[in-house]
Amino acid sequence: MEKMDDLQIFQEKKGNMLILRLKGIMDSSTCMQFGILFKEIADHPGMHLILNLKELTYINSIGIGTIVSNVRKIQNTDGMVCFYQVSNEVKHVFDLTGLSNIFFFFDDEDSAFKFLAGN
Amino acid sequence: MNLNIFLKRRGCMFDSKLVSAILKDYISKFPAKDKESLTLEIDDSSIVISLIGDIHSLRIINVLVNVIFKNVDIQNSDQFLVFDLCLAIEESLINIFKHSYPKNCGQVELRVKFETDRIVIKVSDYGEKGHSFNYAEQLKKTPESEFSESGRGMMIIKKIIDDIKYSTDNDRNTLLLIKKWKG
Repeated sequence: MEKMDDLQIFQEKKGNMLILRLKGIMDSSTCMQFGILFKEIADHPGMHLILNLKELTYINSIGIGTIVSNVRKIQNTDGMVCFYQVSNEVKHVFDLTGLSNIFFFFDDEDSAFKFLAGN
Repeated sequence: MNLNIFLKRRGCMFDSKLVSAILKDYISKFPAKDKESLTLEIDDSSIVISLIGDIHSLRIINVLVNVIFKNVDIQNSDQFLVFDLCLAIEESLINIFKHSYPKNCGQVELRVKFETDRIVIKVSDYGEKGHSFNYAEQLKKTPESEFSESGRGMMIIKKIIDDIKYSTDNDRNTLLLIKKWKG
């Protein structure tokens, strides 16, 4: 049913970089599973995170808040976070909340990977 | 004749019978507890949805709101108009479930009226006045830091909506959201 989808998270690890592909929607019902996963990442200092949001079709303030607060935790452990292939709708919510200016967005995984490898 | 042109000439903003049938089909698939507390009223230019629920009921309301907006001829005026309206309504409801009811559960009412040049949305709750979200205060606030977990709901509503008013009448608290659109 439309907009009743849950959140699916696909993981791929490349060295000290973790690539997460999110599929579905991120709201009050799904953000907790993302928060649990983020906590595991934050427990490994220096781990970088690349988020593929191509198939994330919806996010609200609760989902944005979960991403933002957990990105901070990763940054506090010397990790870096960037996004690529963000869907138009989700990028629009980042724009509405003024967060587009403080995060790094790329068109493809290779560009995101090179950016984090160079930092 | 194009159905939307035909309906507009009759003063209707959408085909209420068609939308009602689609909504009822969606509602029939909802969990029993959601169906029991949900009421729906629909005419040629407005829709009223009432529900007793909690923050997990947002999905139910969002599905219905999506169906409604996608069946009204407003989409061409702005790429994100339907998305934005659904988001603004959801953020208003999040505030109600988080702040208006002590146990984060209660009755919400959503009224959407389509006019020729604007969409009037009323989101109401019956929370105790002492617990109600202070909109006047919240409208002035910004998140404490760029990385804070909360405080973005009202920011989103303010960015999307053209006119926002909050009122309390007897037991009912109502947030009025007016969105202009190019009819």
